Amino acid sequence: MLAVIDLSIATIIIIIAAFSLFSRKILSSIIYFIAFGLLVSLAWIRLGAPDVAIAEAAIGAGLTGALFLATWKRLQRVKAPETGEAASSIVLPLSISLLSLLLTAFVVGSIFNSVSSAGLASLVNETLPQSGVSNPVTAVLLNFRSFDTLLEIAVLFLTMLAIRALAIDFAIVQVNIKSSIFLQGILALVVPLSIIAGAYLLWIGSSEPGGAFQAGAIWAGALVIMQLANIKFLFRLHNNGLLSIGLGVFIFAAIATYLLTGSVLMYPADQAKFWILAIETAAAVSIAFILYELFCVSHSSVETKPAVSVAHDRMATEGANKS
Amino acid sequence: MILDILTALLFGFGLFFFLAGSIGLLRFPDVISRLHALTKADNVGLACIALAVAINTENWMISLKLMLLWLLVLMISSLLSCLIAQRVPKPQANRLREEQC
Repeated sequence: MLAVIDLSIATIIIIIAAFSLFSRKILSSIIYFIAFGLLVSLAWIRLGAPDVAIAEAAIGAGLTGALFLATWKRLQRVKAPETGEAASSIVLPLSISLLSLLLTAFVVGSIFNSVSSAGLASLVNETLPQSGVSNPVTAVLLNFRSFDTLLEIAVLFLTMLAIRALAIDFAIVQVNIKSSIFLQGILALVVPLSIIAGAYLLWIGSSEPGGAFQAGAIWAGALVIMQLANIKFLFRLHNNGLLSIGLGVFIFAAIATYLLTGSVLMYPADQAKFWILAIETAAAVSIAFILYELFCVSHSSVETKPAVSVAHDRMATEGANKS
Repeated sequence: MILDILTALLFGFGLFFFLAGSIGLLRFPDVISRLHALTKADNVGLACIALAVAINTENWMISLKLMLLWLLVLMISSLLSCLIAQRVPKPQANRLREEQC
């Protein structure tokens, strides 16, 4: 009985995916996409991963679907201002939100029934000695569930690619900074200090809270400060190699571990720490440069904002007067 | 007991300043006002929370480190505010300055 359900879910997912990809109207594509997301979250439940199911239902079907619908509405307005969509504009979101609510209730209900979500902490603590690191979070992220982390890095990389494609220009406008001894002194202290702090967090990640994401964020901060202070770099910072080295090393590690041990990202015995550190270092570098790239893009696009309303102006003066 | 009350008070103050700073960052209309709001969160908010943690540690070295961290954040936030403020377009900055006088 359950096998029949699983098989039909799998089949319907593929059919719906094909409909979503190949339907002629954008709106029906979007609706099929939302249905696809909800079905995939069902599949995750059947696979015993209710946490992923919630994420899929909320982000994959709900949020992304809503974004697509908003985009579609905007496209309609841009193309033809007078298409009487009054009826569907209320019915569609309403039905979608009802459906989402139902499914969310279903997912939440299934969590309480599922056995596997009861407590993985004891399991993690038991197998911690084999993981090569002593920080449970790092062990889960880069050993037990390293495939998830690989996908996270891939998502970050894809985000950067998408924003790069959308950005008109990602060179920050150069502004002459009034240089002072104060500024120079603090810069000379803060930038090296944050680079060391990032490296420390990366290294300490194997035994205490820390790791690639934290280190990458701090390094990105150092890069942003240097960019804002007009410090010249030895090399071009929008470097494709640096942006992709994290994902590259991770994928390389996945293939290498598959060849060595016969299973993806299953590290050879006693070498786990080396693999984890290598992956984390590359990932931290990429995370830093991707975040920096995102900063550059957002900074260059919001640079001129012509229309400031009167009310805003008044608020500005009030804010200034208070200080 | 007194320590607990003091800790709760400091945390409360810190959170309040962080909340105010965040709201200011979101709601103020221009870059300079937003920076003004942010400094409150960085300086006072973090100071209160770091102090609240520092008076609860057994080891005075950790308290010292926390205070040093606060100083570091102070330094970085003032540096960043300075750098960002210099990038505000001239007309906007001038207008604000005139209205302030």
